[in-house]
Amino acid sequence: MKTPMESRLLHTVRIALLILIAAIVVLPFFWTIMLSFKSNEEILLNPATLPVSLEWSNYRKAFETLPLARMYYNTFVNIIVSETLTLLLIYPSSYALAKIPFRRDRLRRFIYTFLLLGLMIPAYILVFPDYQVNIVLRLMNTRMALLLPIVATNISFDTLLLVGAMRAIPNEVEESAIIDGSGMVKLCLHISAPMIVPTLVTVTVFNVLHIWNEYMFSSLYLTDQALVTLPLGMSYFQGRYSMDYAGMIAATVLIIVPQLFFYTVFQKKIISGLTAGAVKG
Amino acid sequence: MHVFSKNKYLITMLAPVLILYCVFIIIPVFVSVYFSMLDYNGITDGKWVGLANYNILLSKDFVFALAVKNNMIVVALLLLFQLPLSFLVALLLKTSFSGNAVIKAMVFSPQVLGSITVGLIWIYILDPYKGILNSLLEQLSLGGFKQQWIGGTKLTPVSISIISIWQGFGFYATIFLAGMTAIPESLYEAASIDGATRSQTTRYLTLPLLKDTFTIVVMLIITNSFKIFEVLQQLTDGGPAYRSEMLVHYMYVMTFTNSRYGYGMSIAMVTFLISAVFSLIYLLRMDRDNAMGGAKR
Repeated sequence: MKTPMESRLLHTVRIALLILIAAIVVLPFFWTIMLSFKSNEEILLNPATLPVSLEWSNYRKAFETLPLARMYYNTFVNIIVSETLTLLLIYPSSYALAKIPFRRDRLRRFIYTFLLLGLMIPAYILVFPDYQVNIVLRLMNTRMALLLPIVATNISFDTLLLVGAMRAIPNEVEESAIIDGSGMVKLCLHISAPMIVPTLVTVTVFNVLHIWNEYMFSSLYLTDQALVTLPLGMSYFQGRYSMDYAGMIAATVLIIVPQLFFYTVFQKKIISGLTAGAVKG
Repeated sequence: MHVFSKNKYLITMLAPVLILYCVFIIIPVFVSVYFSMLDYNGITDGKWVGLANYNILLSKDFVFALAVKNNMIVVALLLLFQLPLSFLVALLLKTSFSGNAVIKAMVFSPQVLGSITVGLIWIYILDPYKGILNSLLEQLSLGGFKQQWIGGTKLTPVSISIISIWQGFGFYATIFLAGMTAIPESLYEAASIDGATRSQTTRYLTLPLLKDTFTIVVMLIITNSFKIFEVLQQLTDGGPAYRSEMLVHYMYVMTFTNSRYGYGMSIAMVTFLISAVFSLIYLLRMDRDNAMGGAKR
């Protein structure tokens, strides 16, 4: 048996180890922030030391290096539009699959399974055919060229989570609402939605992060400069050493800090949402 | 609820999703398969070539072989280092102490950023000339250890693996942790009454009960490593001279830069098959082990 002394020592060692690991994980963020305050010369000569003076002008240069305002605007609009569309479409379909009795139950089960197939299909299989679909539908270089495929890729995961949550609502609740004269819209919005808020938040967080970080589809479907998103803007740096390095680093900070802030606020939901997505997906 | 069982309700609620899903997800899979059997450059009409693309890919294309090799290096390194690291961190995170949640959030944080951002952050560190790492080695008088971390002929897959480990281990640790929390506390109490040490408990209790979680994590590591694209695009764009090429990036370049659409799709198909076969082998092995375990009992 271990003495209490030994087990307390062990406890301390474990915590110290964890703190060390966590520190290593966040170190690259701090390095980036530190670099963003150095002049181009200092970055070249002494990148690893603390900055000698704070070069705030890098943040002015950041706005000259990348069209940050437009990138943020577009990403924000994409998030709002795609998430509205996603919920508008997938909420009713999940509700039908979870709650409405089909004349033939086999059809219901078939549609449900069919909608989950997408979980196995990686984006790299879809990128070219969806490009063709966009051409056929004359969507290229409109926001919808990105948003429709993105909403479509949300279907499988969202259906899985929403149907699961809706099934857990007791039927009696809805039946009494129907007797009171509720229509379908009222049933969805006022009766069932408030009962599955945690799942709605999880699904939304998942979808929002997906489109916030999406690059492969956007790089092909949104070549119009006016539609540039955050990930697209950040890919401009590749192979372009002519770009102002310090300005680029400052721009990176202006992109990662808000996202890490968003993460801090919704941390619990994001961690549980992404984990649930992996385990169920 | 039978009031709403009429077809008009069901169709209005389901049709939009089903149409969108078929147009952008299901039909495209078949389009991909079809195109992978065409010689098509977007200008002249596509010519049906059967399995010729696959034949060239598997027998003559040395870049494809390089990409497969680089992908295998990454899968191997991730399974060797990321998997045990995630499990260990999950074990550590099981200790209760104030600040536990903060540490967990920190370790998980890289998973939230997009891979394009992650690639950029790591350029600032790994770039052989402007990056922090080489300059730090210089300052510590370890100049001999300076490397062409990216853009050289050898190390890019290793750097990609390091970045992937950094980006994902907190995420996988959280999955392990979720699995561990599902193990009833009473089992641990019983083990400690029986005088089991901590390492015995881990080996004979936690590990066997986490078999399903291990399966999930291993499959995720494998499939995710075959999806690596953005980080490579940021670090080297596959260069120099295709040396650091990986499968999805090679597909992207062939399809959209070189306009060899049919060939590109055959790369996508083979990539998907390789990653599926890997997962399947692992699943079958786990199944067999389970069956044997059952027989022994």
